[in-house]
Amino acid sequence: MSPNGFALSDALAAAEQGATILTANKRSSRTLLQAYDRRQSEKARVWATPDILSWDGFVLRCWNELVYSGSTSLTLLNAAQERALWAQIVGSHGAAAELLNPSATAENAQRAWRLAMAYRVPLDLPVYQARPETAALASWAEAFATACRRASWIDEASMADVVPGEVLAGRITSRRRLVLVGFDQITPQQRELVEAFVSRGAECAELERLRNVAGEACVVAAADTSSEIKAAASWARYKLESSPEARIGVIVPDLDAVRSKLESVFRAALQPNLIPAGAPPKREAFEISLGRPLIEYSIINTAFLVLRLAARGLTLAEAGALLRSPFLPGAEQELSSRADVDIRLRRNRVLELSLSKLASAAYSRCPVLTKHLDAARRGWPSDANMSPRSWAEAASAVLDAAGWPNQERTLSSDEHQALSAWSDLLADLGSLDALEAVMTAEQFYARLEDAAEQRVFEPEKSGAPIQVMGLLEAAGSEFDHVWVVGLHDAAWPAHAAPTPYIPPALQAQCGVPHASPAAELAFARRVRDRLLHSAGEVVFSYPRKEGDADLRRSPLLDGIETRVIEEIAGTPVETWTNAMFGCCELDSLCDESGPALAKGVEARGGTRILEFQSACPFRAFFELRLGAREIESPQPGLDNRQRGTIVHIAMEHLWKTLKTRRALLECTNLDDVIEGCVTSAIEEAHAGGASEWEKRLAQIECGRVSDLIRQLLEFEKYRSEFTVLEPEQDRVVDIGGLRVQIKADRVDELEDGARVLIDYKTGEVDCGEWEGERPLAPQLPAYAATTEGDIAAVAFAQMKVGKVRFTGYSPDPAVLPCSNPFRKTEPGTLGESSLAPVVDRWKRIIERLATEYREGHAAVDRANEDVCKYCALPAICRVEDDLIQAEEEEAADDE
Amino acid sequence: MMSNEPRDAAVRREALTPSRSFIVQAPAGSGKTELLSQRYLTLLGLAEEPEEIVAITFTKKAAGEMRDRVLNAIRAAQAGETSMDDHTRATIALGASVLSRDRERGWGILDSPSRLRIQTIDSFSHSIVQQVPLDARFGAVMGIAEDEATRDRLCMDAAFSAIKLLGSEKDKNDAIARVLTHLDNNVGEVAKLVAAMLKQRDQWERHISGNDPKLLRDQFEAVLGTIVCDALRRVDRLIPRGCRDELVDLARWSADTLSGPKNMLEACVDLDRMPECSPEACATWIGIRKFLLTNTGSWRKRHTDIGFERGTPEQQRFAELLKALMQVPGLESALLALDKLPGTRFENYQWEVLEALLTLLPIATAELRKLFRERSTTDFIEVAQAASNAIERCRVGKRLPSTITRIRHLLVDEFQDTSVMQWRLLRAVTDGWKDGDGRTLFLVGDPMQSIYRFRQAEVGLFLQARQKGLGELKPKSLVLTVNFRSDAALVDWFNEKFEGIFGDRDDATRGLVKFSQCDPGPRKPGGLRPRIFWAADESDEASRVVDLVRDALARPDENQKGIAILVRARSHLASIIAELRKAGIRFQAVDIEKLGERAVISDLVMLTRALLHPADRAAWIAVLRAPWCGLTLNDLYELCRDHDVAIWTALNDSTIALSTDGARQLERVRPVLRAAIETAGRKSLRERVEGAWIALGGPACIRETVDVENAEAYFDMLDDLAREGEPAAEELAAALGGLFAKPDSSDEARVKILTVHKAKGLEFDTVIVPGLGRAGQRDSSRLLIWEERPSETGTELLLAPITQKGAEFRDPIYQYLRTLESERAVEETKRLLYVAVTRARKQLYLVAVPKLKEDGNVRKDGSLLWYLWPSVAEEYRGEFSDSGLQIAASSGDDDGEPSSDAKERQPIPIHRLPDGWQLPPGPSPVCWTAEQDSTAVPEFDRVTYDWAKDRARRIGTVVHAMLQRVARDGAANWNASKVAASRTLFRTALAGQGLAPADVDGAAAEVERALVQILQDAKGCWTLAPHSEAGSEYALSGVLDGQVRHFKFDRTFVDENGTRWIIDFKTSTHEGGDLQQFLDNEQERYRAQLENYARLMREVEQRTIKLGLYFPLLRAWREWEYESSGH
Ligand code: SF4
Repeated sequence: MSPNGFALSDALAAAEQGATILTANKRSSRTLLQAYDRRQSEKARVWATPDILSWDGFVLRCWNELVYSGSTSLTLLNAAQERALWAQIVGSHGAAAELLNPSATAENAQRAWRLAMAYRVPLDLPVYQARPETAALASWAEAFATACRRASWIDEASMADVVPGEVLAGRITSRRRLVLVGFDQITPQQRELVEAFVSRGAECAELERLRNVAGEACVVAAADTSSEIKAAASWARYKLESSPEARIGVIVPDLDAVRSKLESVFRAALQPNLIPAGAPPKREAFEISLGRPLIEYSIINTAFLVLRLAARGLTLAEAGALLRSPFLPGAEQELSSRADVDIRLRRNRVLELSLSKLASAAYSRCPVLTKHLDAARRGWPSDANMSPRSWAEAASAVLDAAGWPNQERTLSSDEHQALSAWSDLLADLGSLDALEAVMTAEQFYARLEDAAEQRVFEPEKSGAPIQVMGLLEAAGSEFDHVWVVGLHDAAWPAHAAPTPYIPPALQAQCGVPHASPAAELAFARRVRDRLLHSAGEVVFSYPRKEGDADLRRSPLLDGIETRVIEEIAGTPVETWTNAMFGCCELDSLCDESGPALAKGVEARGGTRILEFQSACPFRAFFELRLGAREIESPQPGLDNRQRGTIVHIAMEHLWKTLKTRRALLECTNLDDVIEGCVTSAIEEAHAGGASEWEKRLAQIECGRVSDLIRQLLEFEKYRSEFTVLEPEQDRVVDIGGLRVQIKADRVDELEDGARVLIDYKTGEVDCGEWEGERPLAPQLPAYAATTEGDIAAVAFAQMKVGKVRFTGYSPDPAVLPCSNPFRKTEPGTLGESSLAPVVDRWKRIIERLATEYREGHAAVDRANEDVCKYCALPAICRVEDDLIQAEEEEAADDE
Repeated sequence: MMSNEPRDAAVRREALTPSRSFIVQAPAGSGKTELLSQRYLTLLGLAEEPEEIVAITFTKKAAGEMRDRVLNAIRAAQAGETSMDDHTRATIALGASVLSRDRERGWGILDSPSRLRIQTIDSFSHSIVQQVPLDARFGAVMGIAEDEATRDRLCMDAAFSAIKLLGSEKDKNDAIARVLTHLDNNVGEVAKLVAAMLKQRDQWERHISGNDPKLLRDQFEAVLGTIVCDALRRVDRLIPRGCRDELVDLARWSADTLSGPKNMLEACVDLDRMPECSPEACATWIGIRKFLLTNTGSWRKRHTDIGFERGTPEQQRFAELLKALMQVPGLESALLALDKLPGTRFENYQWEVLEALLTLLPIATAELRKLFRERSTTDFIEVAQAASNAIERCRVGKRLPSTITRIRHLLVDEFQDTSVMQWRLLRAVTDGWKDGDGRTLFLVGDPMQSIYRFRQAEVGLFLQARQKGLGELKPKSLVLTVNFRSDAALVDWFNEKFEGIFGDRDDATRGLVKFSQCDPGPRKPGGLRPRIFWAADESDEASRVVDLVRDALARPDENQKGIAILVRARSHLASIIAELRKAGIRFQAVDIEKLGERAVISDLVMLTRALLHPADRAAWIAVLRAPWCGLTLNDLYELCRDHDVAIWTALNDSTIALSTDGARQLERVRPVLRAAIETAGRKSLRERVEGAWIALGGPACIRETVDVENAEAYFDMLDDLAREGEPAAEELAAALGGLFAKPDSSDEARVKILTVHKAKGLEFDTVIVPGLGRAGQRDSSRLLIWEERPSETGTELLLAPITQKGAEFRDPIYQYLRTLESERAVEETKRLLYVAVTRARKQLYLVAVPKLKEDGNVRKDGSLLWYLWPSVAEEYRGEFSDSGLQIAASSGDDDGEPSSDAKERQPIPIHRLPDGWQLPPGPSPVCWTAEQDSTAVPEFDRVTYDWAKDRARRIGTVVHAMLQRVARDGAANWNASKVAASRTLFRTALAGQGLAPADVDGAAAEVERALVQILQDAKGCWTLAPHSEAGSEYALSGVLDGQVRHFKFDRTFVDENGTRWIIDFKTSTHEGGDLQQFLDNEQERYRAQLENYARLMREVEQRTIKLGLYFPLLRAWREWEYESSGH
């Protein structure tokens, strides 16, 4: 069938005479058609469109002839239906519930079935019972065939089985001449069809090699995959520049894995001018023909976010993505305010969002979004169960209501095409009515998502001079120059990986490709020959390394001349980074202070002003004056801030109720009082949560905090009499020319009018942090320094599990029993019984810090390295430029 | 030495015996890979199929190396190469026999090298799962999360979803609440702990899944019993016969003498014979320990403490007894071990917590599997577990696949770093193998180099295999002794130092390895002895290291195989790297610097975050402050003072007054950012960030070449990350966390910097090991701590739960297990030191900042120095006598960090592009001639999916196909009844179009209506009637406006007047309203399309061309004549 010397031009000539040209894949039929058009347009302005189509398209055309002549009453299953049927069948297998990867299992079963059909592998032999996998396939296949028979369905693979008989029976138009182009392997099933046409009088030719003579070939090695791709790119540029009309192919076996890398390398090598430009290119110098799952296209991704929001709700991160998506109306206009909604949701720790929750969160700031979300919510059906078709309609309606894909934007050609693929997908899903009666929204969503992951979609391109494609895609395409990458010995010939669902011996016997090392080798050899004959110049390359493992050249390249990259790839192309690196000296500028604030101005931030200014002035300036704050990323459960807040509020309530130590002693239902206070504190801190588990968690927290409080109260009982003062509202004091809000957690008044200042802490405490020129915890000192009258004690009330106590300066233990007595901590004031000198010292320091802040002093000057741990700004302040930072030590607190 | 043969040549030869199993101890530099390859070749030369031999290596790199050696040997044999070197000659000879076997059997190994099964354990497991997917309960292989960040996320998410089941029905007996309460209700912390457990579930899962916790308690307590008994027995055995009675006598005497309420020997009152070795007698044993040893654990010196008055006969006897007992080696430690014994019962509270954990953890693993399923991703543990399970299942069902049964030889490299999971897999594969049945196991490793405990490596497994074998196989133990790598002086030094550091026996449970002496290679020169340098503090250490490096660099001839700095943890390198940079020495730091630590990258991260999130203020401010913009604080304040206004909004607010210089910078920066924002969704994240970065001048801000590559690595990561939608800031940080900056790969970078773990298997002429004095890291706390002990029936397990948060007392069982663990950690640290120093070929330098205690010895803080100290203390003292102590004193306090206020603050300037900087023109694009006739991309209508439209479209398809057929048959041959008779056909065609069954009948009726209407309409019939030059679905191509177009006309013919007709059928429907208006609109809609047809047709013929639209469902017709504008 394969007369020597028959080449591409002969195939085209045959087409001209009305032959039907059949190609192994769509890509090949497209390029053949282009070649034909090129050939014709040289001679004429108009010509009959030749009959060039892919094998699959041809079989389908034959089938349709049967359908429209009424010769069959079988319904051809579409892809979604066939997949669903396999999933149903595999899902009913005994072990299905335990399988980790059920959907791929169905897919593999389906693939094995198709292989069996194509290679005429019997499925009902006893040998299938030897292994669970093969036994499963045998029974699945039977179930599949039965289901099809019952419902008068037929699947694609079986359809190809029916057609030859119909050809012989004359129910399908016979052809004068068939030419098969670029088949690496013709399956027995295909051969049967061809032969049917032959026996009806067709002439048949097979064209494996597109060129009569092998191209000039060489092998080059690259350091690794990345440099290999770079070399191919610069070679392609060199070729194109030396002959501007050349058609260049770059063939990449594992294209999916390197696609994005390849794209950026080729862009940088061929059209670097486009990189810094905002607009998409007018004409592409290269095209990568590799479809991606539909769901990966960002326009489709947004559709899924909307649908998921409606069907099952979104996580915070997903909601953020939706809020920032450009494919919803108002995206541009509400760009900042939507992002702001995300910030707020994070701050409020809203971890899960429903349509209505998101709409109400957006309500005040994003009217356009709210309007659309509301419409979507109204449009979403309330029925729990509906038919696939109704869900498809509902999905479409909800997207319409949400304004997707945003009319304000002009869609690109790719986006248009993706949209139309999307609409086909929905229609296919709707066609599942034939298999399934009703399903829930979530089920439908899951199906849809699965289908969109499976549906590989490749937008049609306009035809660039450099074509990048996979190894199989390249079958039946012809070029002036071809470069094939990635041909190391571990990949080529590939490791034989026969499907486990058909007995291996049977596969080998039936000539299933990839079934054995020998089959794999034979296949690889055929591919090599095909590649050698696909262009005038053929370059094979391989990487010497992958990660840190060494790779070798494929033995299939033995005997082909070895060359070095530099010889063939022209001069390496210049890149932006190379062009700009070291192009100028950077200016160096000392900029350590910002504008001063006017005296007497009210400053936001409260005591954090002092805390930050003391720890690191730069941080104070950036965080408090510029508002450079880290985005929060809340996690389930209560975070430390919330837990602290609960304790604070609970204590405040408690003392509002009790007021005095006497009341504490006399209280008969203390436990109830405590619990009441904690419960309302949890509510006020919005820590209750709506779901079951959060409620239970709040209960546990309530018990925990109540315990801590009880333990602390034990100490309070032994104090001399005191009254807890009402917390002051909006106490603003003047320090260093700033008006700052300073609040103490608690102020006790003793019987002699002296005061005790208390700060609740739920973490570690250290009174050393009040001291020095740069106190790390200046809150209490600041309060003390701005309080009139006598201060009898200043202390932290530590409320940490296992560590509940007062720590601080209390000259008289009866006033406050401190675990860290005043005298010991402060050698300088040894023997003094008054805090006055301490407070005076604090006053000076606090004043200084406030003044520095007000004057805009913003040097990068940290009190110690630890203060950077919880700071969001190292990238801005550059204190640790290019330095190795210590690993975060794992807490080993049980040691 | 006369012979060129290494001393252990006979052992090496024996190791190649193809019929026997071996376990080979191969110390550093002993040429283990060569031995493995030789054995592999030997076996291959005798095999039926290459797949019979499976070699398992620790890394892909090692697999590649071995594969290379094997293939090279075969190729060398093929090329007829020979060698002067005996060794190489032997290898080539083996290659030759493989070659002849290959020819004999027709393997074609050299053509299909992937037939050689030399692979990592991970890929071996993976291939098993692939072969038996149902038995493995996978169904199909799936993606494996190879990067740490993804695995962490999976485990963390699973942990959270498990915790969220709090109070649900899966949460039996309030287990989750109990765990939370136990750990201070800190959900985040608990999740972290659970996630950490999930990441090593291969260790504990099979022990607890499916077991009733109640039964486990008895089991565990039984184990506790054995632990106690073992310890008692050890003491019992050590007490010499002759001393027993005396001991009993004196102990009772002493106990009686001390009688009173606080008698510490209470348990020995009434002692009349040696106690039993049973848990009940434990107290008595502890009494004996107290009797003999003081609280601090030394033999009693002040005998009065236990009632023996000086000079009394009893005291004499006691002194005698002690003297005798002190002679017994190991007795003191055996007695001391009694202090650390766990109880034999769980406290109830503790058991409840354990039980709760045993409920929570299976829930968490179930959640993890659910996530695997949802995300179609799994991890190596799952694959390895599935592989073992599958083989075990196959064995039970007697249905092992041939791919497994075919395996006849298994070679395992680095066997000292085997995990329990891998052990189990090997067991499963070799189950049923017997010595002498032709199937062999070949295990190679060096227990002295086992350093992968953090990856669950268990050195004990090597020892166990050597002592007891694996299953029924009892591999013969072989020991290689020759170190071909290091000079003789180094080998001597290793022998000398490590003899004392390592244990004097192997102990599988304690991870104790006996030291095995090495011999230098036959032709090794004497060489130089290693040196230790003492440094005062970190910066002193750094400068010493730099001196040493400089020195080595000055002698390139002696350092052809490289110079390396090896450290235990990368954080030890901060000062050294800074110092090297200062000295202008280039180095290649492998996986040392985190990508995110490079300033260039952190700027890029901020740029990315800003583009991802318009309200990420920190990121936006960073972008404005970065070198490409460098706004001053004054300008920043103007832009950012109102925290409620997004910075991007402020940037576009012309009323904000900035300095002229700032305004100019923004002029340049603003449009770049705008373009990047506007291309959201249209360009990939990478393209947007990279484009903006270049346009902003990012590359001009790079100061070190290696950052060019780092930036590229960053962009690649962005591509990977954005595959599943745009990442949030925290995902970006997580992904970045696992990436290291590229090492400087230029030739000038001749110094390598690695961690000891990375250096394993490598060698260098000069090795510098700094940071010897650095304290070791402590193990982090774990939710459960477990201990697997060998027992008669296999292994037994003991578990203890984490200590309660805030609790003061630790549970003795937990404490006991923890101690065992830290003992193992200690042993591993010794091995780490061994691995580090044995990398050296010629020179070895150790640098230490000793942290001395008051007694002049180093602190026991897990530093490497501590292990070495006994043998180097003298050296130290000799070098420093008095002054040394000074150094020690100054650096003795804490971490030797100089107090911060002493340092003068260095202002940190900002760096930025010079004023007026502009983007250079940049590289030029490629030029090419576009093909004149390139095919146009078809125009697309905006599509929204709508069921009705979709249905109409499908009906249209069927109608078109039918009309084509009618035209072919001739309209005359068709009529309404024939149409009606074709209903089944319509239905089949429509169902084949994917129409839902419920819709098919209605749609078929519509098809029918369309056909009937056209057939009943004269105009309709005319369009379908036979005409001259008629064609249906007529396909014509041609060039229009410089582009090739392909058209298909529904119908065309030449009528009796010689007019060419081109007709399209349109199945539009129209309800109510003005039909004529509708048809007008339709005509306009399709006019251009039809006229294009006509334009092409005009090229073919010069007839009058008329265009027509027929609407079968409306029974309407529109026609017009084509007026070519060109004529
Ligand atoms: S990272 Fe450290 S030095 Fe930088 S601003 Fe924050 S606290 Fe200051």
